[in-house]
Amino acid sequence: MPEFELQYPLVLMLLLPAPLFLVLRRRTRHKLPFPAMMPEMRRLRPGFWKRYYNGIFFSLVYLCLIVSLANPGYSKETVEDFIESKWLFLALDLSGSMKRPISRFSDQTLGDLALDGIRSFIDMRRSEDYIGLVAFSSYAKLLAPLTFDKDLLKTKLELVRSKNHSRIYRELGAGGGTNASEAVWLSLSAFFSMLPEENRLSVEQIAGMREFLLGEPAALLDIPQKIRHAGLGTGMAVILFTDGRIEPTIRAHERRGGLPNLVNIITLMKAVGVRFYIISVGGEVDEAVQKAMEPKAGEPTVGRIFVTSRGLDRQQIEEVYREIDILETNRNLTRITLQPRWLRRPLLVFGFGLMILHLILRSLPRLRKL
Amino acid sequence: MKPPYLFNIQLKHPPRSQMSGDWAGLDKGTGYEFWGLRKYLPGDSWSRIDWKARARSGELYVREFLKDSAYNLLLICDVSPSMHFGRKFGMLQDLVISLAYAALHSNNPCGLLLFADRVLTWHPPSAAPQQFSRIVTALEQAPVMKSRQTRLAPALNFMMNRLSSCLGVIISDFHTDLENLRGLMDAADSRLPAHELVALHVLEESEYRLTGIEDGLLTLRDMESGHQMPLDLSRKEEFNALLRAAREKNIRTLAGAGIDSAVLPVGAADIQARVNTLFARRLAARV
Repeated sequence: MPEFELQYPLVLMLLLPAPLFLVLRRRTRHKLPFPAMMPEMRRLRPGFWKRYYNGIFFSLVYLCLIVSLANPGYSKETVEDFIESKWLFLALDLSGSMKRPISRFSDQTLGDLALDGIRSFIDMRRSEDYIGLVAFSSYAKLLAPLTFDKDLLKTKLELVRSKNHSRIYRELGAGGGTNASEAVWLSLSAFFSMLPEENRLSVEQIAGMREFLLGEPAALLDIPQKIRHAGLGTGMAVILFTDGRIEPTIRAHERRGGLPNLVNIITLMKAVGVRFYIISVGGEVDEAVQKAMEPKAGEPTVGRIFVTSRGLDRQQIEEVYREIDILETNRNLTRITLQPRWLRRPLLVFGFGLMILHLILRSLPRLRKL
Repeated sequence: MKPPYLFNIQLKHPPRSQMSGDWAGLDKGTGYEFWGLRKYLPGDSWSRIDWKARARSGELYVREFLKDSAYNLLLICDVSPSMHFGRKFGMLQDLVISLAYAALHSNNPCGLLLFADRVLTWHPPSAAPQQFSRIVTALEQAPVMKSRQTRLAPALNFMMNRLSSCLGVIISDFHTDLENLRGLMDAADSRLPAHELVALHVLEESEYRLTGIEDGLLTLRDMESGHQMPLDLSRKEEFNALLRAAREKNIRTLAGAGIDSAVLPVGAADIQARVNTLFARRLAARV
């Protein structure tokens, strides 16, 4: 890609009539009729500069103005913009327990209620926030990566509404289990993949971390240095919408095998500072999870658990919203753009400078045109 | 019509025509015909003292002569575009009217020739009563020419072919090439030329001197050729010197062809005196 470019090259066509303007200027210039012109007077003609400085200045100013309209760019510069945002992952439980109706008289399920909560949450968030969606039952499925497109998120949400009977809903509902830990791990992985290149983990490091997460609850975690210094924990949160019937204990781990342990994941989140909120719709949360969420002495809190009745409590969602709002903004994302160095402004300044200089010269006694 | 100026037209040479008859005028003046004697007054030329009368009477007497008359006056007027610069054409009209009046008033024929690059209008000399109005009308209806140059030689050729002898008064700004006049006016060396010519240079002030104008750059356009020339007014003195030199050269060239000149700036208060002085000076230089 050539470094020199013109933003509006066709404007240069306006240079074509320039000689015509010069000829017209010459023709329409005021001339004093005089009867006594003699060949000897030729030696009294002014010098080249005095004779043509008007035309020279006119041509230069015209050239500057036209070229500034064409706006040439002579090189590119790299511009880095930090995108200050909050990264939020919403994890929705679609397990069998979430298919229970709210009441005997309602055809709405607990899942639909959670969906309404998520929808309100998306509406309330700021436009610069990156929000991702994960739905889970026996396994987790990434519905939408981190995006600021709220319409896309809402469309994806409609895919998992019970009355729509979409394929994704049927697939996720078929399992019936509650694998919240995999959903949260998926969300964390998505955060890690969004980190700058120098902070990204290698495949081996991720596998190693996963090994730790598969271990017994409260096992000592070895967190890679890359993650520790990545500035995680500012403006990142995972919000889990569930009915509380999550199985994070060692029993569940042993029974199912190969699943990350939610308690370990909460420990990891504590260590790296990612916030974790659980909105339990009409249910209770496992004791082990509650215990893991409680801060130990001298530790910061990792998040909160909100337990709602079997109805949408907008106030609680707003409370989560407020808590997230006070989080620091995340500056891990940078937008790098190549921007040509445009010459319009310098050319315009130069053109107007020449114009002013011309006016000054024209007012000098020795150079003024009578 | 009352003439703006009162001119005293006097010939330098007597008419060459053998059939001119009595060409003496009615008034006293400088001429060849003796009129009478009068007592000497302080200021009279000593060459006019009649020494025989002094011997007879013991007092100083001077001779007086009749003024020469009987001439054909031809007014040769330049009506080229350059003569329309400023108030020059108005001045030309005043001069023509005054000269025609002076000639016709003393019963002398007067004619008119208008020229630019060629002869445009020709009225042969006549002393008829309506000649004055003919001349005035011709001048008022003078065509505005768009000629590219002024040429005097064709007009003088025309005059010489039509008139055997005359007193020609050329009224022009003389922005023309005068080099070819010497060959044309070969009679200038003659003691008694058939055609006496006088040149009246009618000029606007800016044609012989630029004053009261600030420095700057000016583009001049020749009124006849249309040529353009930028002029640096900071070299005004050089410009004035050039104009003066050109004017002096013109006068010398005309004098070389036997044509005496008087420069008449437009708006000058002493036009009448300048023209009368020219005639008187020529008479004083009579051979």
